[in-house]
Amino acid sequence: MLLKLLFAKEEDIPPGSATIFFGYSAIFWFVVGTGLGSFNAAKLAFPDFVTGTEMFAFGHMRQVHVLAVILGWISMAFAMTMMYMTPALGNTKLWSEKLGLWNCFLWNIGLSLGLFLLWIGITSGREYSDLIWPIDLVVLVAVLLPLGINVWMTIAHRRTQGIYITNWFFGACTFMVMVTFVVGQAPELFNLTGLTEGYLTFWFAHNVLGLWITPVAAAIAYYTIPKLTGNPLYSHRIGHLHFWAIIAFYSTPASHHLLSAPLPEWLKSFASVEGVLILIPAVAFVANILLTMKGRWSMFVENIEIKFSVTGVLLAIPLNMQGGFQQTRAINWYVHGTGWIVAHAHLALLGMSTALEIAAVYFGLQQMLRRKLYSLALANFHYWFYIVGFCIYWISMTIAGLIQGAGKVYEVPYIDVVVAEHPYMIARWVGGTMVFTGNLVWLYNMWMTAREGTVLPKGRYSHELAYER
Amino acid sequence: MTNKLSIGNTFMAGIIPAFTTGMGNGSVFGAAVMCAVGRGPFESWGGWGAEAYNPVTFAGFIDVMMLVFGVAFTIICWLAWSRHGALEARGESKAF
Repeated sequence: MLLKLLFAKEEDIPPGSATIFFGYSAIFWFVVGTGLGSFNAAKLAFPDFVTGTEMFAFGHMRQVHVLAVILGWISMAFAMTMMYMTPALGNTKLWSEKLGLWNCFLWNIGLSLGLFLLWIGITSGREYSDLIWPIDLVVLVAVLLPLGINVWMTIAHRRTQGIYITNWFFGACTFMVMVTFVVGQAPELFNLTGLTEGYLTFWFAHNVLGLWITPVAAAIAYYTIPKLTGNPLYSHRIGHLHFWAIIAFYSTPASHHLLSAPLPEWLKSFASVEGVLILIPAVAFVANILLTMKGRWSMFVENIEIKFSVTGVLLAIPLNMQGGFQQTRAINWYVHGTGWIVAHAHLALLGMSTALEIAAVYFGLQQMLRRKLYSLALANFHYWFYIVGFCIYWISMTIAGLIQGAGKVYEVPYIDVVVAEHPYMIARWVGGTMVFTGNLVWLYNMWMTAREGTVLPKGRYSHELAYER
Repeated sequence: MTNKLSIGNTFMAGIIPAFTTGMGNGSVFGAAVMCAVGRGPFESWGGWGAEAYNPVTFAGFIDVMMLVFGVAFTIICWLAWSRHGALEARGESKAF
């Protein structure tokens, strides 16, 4: 069906097609990404699990897991939300459904190729920028640029006077992620080595999180919470403060990842201070959204999209409290290089960002398919497996990190620390596998929604009918 | 209208996301305190088994702080939701 639509005329493509294909692609990659995560966690918990084959070695599989989640699940879920939120907020239609569909098609092809190459060991060898430069060019030209063009042109062709805060973020972040991507790949494109390579690698790694993964997730909440609750956003001004504070403070703290590296001291101190200032946009965002919930908190216990959204916003609190302070020199020497950092990265990607995206994908797919969710029971099963699994993962890895840190401070022999951590590695595997199981159920639920979900009457929203039988 | 945000209804939602939120804040507090205090005798590193939850050890203090913050934040959230739910039930809480 996708191939048929790719060569159809623009006017013959049903509105929402790009949203639907991006939505299902995102869920598929989420299943793949978390499945790989579960596999990798099993290797850490049970060292004899699948040995002897180079392709299944941890070093290969870790890269595939990370990129499948970032470029597959998270970024495709963002693209999906942009395909329906941007036009909805501009009271117009998507600038080009056809471009959106080609974008989705090439994205899946490029990502599959890139992940296959990583799997067989063809890699740049730089964390988060693991893809080799020809694939980098594919990501830039066939993934990020078409997405940006569609978003910018839709905003430019809006039929509203102002631009809502969500579209501020969408427009800016699609631009900033391209700049981040180009600069971040510079070491490979221009053969830069040593400290420059290290700095640019983590400049990319930090900014892809700070200028793409977390702000776009926040932008999604600015849409979903008011839309689902029916409440107006508490304050647009605080939203603007959030936006500009992200631009000012989140684009500069990259070197806090390299506090032990021989970078200029002023750069590390500057980065560390900027890192603490990230609390400003974080508090602005969380306060704005939680105050928008006023009078509609009952939806937190009875609406699946709000349940996921509010969970994501709540998780932004520990995310930024940890993030703001763990990168100060006083604490970083203790947690650097431990499982704490792994837990924190999952708090951002699997916690805050993913929870907000899941809500938007649930809502968007039902709206675009014009079908009610096939099973609320399965959706609740998904929520609880996701959140309980995530919490087991995050808590076990944080505690494992603290043990590693204490082991570092007390100069405990490395192998003793490994043994002390072993129960937490098993807990990590259990938690990750729960998330994966929940996602399998989600994929089934959304597949059945497309096939057998009750048709939504014209003019009604899925969440209005969620509990009607 | 009934209070849909009673502690019974928000019990699990409080236990999981709120507890995690509190634990995240507690982890930073505990780590900051122990980094300021510094290390003690070798036996107090707190890595082995239940020692990781003994508050007189280095790692154990931070873990216990996480749990304390988690419990505190959960109780705060339960009470806040419950009281807000009562206001919503009486129609006294409207959007800004």
